[in-house]
Amino acid sequence: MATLATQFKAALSRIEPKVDAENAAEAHKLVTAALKADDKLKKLGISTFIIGSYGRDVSIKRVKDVDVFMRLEKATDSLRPSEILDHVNDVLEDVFPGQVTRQHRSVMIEFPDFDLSVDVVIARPCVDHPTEHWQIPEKIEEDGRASWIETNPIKMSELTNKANDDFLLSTDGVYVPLVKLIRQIRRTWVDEQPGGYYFEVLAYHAFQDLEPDKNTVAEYLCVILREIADRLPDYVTDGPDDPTLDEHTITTKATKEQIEAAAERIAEAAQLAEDALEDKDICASALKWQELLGKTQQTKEPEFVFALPEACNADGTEKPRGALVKGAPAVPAGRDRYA
Amino acid sequence: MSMFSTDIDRWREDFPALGFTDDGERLHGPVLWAEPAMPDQPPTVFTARVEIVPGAAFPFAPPMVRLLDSGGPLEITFHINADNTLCLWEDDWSVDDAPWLDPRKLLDRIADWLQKTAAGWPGDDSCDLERYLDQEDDGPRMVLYNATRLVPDQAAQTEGGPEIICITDRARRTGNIVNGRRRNRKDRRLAWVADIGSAVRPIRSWDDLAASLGTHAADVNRLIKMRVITVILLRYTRGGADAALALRVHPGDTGIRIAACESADTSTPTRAMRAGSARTALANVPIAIVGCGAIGSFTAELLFRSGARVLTLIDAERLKPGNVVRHFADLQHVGWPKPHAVRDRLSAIDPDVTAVTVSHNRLTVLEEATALVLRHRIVVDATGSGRASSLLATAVTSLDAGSDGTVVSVCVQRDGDVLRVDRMPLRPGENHMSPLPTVEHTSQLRERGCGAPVSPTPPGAVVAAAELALRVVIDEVTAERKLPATVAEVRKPQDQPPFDVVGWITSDHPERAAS
Repeated sequence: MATLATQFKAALSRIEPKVDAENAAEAHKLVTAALKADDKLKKLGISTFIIGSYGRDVSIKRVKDVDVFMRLEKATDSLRPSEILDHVNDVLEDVFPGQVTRQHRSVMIEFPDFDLSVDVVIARPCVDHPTEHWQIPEKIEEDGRASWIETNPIKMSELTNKANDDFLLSTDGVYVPLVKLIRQIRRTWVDEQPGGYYFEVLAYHAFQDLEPDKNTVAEYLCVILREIADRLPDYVTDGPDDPTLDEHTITTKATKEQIEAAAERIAEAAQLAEDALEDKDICASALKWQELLGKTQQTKEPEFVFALPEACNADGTEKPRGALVKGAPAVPAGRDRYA
Repeated sequence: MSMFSTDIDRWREDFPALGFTDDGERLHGPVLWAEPAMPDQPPTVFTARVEIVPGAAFPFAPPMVRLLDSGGPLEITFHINADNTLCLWEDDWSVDDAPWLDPRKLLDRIADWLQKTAAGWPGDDSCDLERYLDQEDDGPRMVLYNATRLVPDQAAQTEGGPEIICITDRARRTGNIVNGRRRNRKDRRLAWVADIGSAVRPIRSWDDLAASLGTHAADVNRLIKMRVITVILLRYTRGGADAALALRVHPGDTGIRIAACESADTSTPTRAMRAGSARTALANVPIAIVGCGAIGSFTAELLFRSGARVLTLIDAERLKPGNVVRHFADLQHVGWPKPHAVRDRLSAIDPDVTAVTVSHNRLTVLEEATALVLRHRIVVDATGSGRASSLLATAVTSLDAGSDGTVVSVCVQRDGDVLRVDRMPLRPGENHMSPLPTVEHTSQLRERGCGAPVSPTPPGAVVAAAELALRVVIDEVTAERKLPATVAEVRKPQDQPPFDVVGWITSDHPERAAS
């Protein structure tokens, strides 16, 4: 068995967004400040919350967009989303001229210096369950009214934090690092759809169902990936349960064929991970982990996420030996010396 | 990344199978250990949890091991570092066979540590109470004391400082010291001396220290707060070994702060410990060294360091600046008679040089040589002079059979390529080795003006020759008598056998050279 803990730690560091995360925080701060300064939005009880993978700290390099959930806590069912989006567009355009785009159901602000954008999504308390979750416009009609869809992204953040507290490696949460690795594997092995959130939910269910307790990242990755691979074929017609809303499932733009293709690819990936773990030769194992995790994406110079140990050649063969040679005494005179 | 990262990667791979988690930095896992069994009862087994981190010094040093949970009742006392890492190996190891490279041996060692801690470290003689205290934060200090003159439960004056503090044997009465400006100026920077007997647990704070001072604690506390006492010297024993712990004490807002200083004993027995096994045999034997030049001065030094104390140093010359590179004395002694210079340097090794006599004279007549041999058990001839050497050789071989006077004649030849020591008189059946043929010296060094030519012999050869002479003297004085009449070392092969092979040759085996 080869678990290569040092290399996994380095791999996690390599997909960490780092600079993007700092830029995202700054961009979010600027947008929020602009929104909160507006009187009309103040009257509607504006409060913002970062959602999306960045908000849950499960994003991986690179972070291209940051989703801001703009809660209008005092909004009622008379709220016309079209009008509000127009207003938000105007407010932001004043502060970020030329950077703002009114989208179908959100407003996007581009930050070219940061090479990322912020998406502002408006939300009102759910008409039927105002204390439990929120609604965002699904489809906005020409008259400015909309049909609304229930959502609870804040709950997903809470569940993520709890899962990371529940599943530990040594003393630190292992759930978040594992979701990052699963997202990286999805990027490497699956075409465009299903997306990262879909796999995040699958990873969440895998953790909740299996309650794994492993000694290394490698072992966690094997069991979670295998569970996702086994479960994916079940979701060709209906997606997995939405952990944030009872009786809802996760929807995806993925077609039936795309889900079947993804299931096939993830099964291959799971097999590769198991082979890597079983391999006693650390270089042969490392090469398999490297293939599994692929290269960093959307970066200027893609690099392998999983670097081979120094003992290994690029083809997975072993270099002659480490610096420490067994049986080759470092002290020719042996022990019991004085100088 | 360390050049050993490969080895560390492989080393880590064994831990998950032993139940350890590995997050790429820290290894966390279980170690089973047993509490010492009570009579007629099976030992209780506990599972401790430890953290293992290969630090920057790994694998040359053991990994850092911290106890996360002992798993059972355990009072941690000894063998733990200030940063809470366990002190698992006192001895150092060569990296190629260091036991911590084997994870199972490492875990066994941790279990052993836990068991010994539970048992209170019976028989442990590690005198390392300094380990458990903060070190001085304003730079390293050393406290010196004479262990044979310490009187416990009283204060003594100190001298020196701030780097080196010497505890003197001048006691000060402290009962009558009261606060105020009229305090005697001698009652400053005093050291309190205490003997706490067997140390059963480390001292980590003033409270621990106060407990060990017993009835004197309150008084010492008062004197520290008045800044009368600034140093405490605790004598203690561990497993039969004697030790001392020197502490600097400072009154602070939150109580008295204590910090450990390095300390050392200045007493003669301690300073003589490293003299070697011939020390006792050499101590009272009268030894004369004729010629206190290059070889003679270093021979005197080595004899003195080895325990010889009754020395007679004879030389008629004064030390020149040009001598110093190849002489035991230094530039401060330029112009001094060489025997006086050597004696002065010996006093820097041990101030007691009362039995070292000096003679600033030349050996010129047989009577003097005979008298010298009669008065000394050994006469080292380090003259390199044909006249002086033959006087001594003649004197010693003319003595009565009952005399045990011995002349050890030492020299370097061929500009230091050959070292040679001849012992006289010969014992029955012995012969000296043949001499090396004389060669013509092509380049002769001379100082300005007239005088004897300067030998190009390097200092290393001089010291090596002195050491060879020392061995012959010790062989004679200890009556081991394993060395033959001539012992030589060829440092660079010469044309003439048996001097044509590098190594040792002796008069017993002139043909056999050590490789």
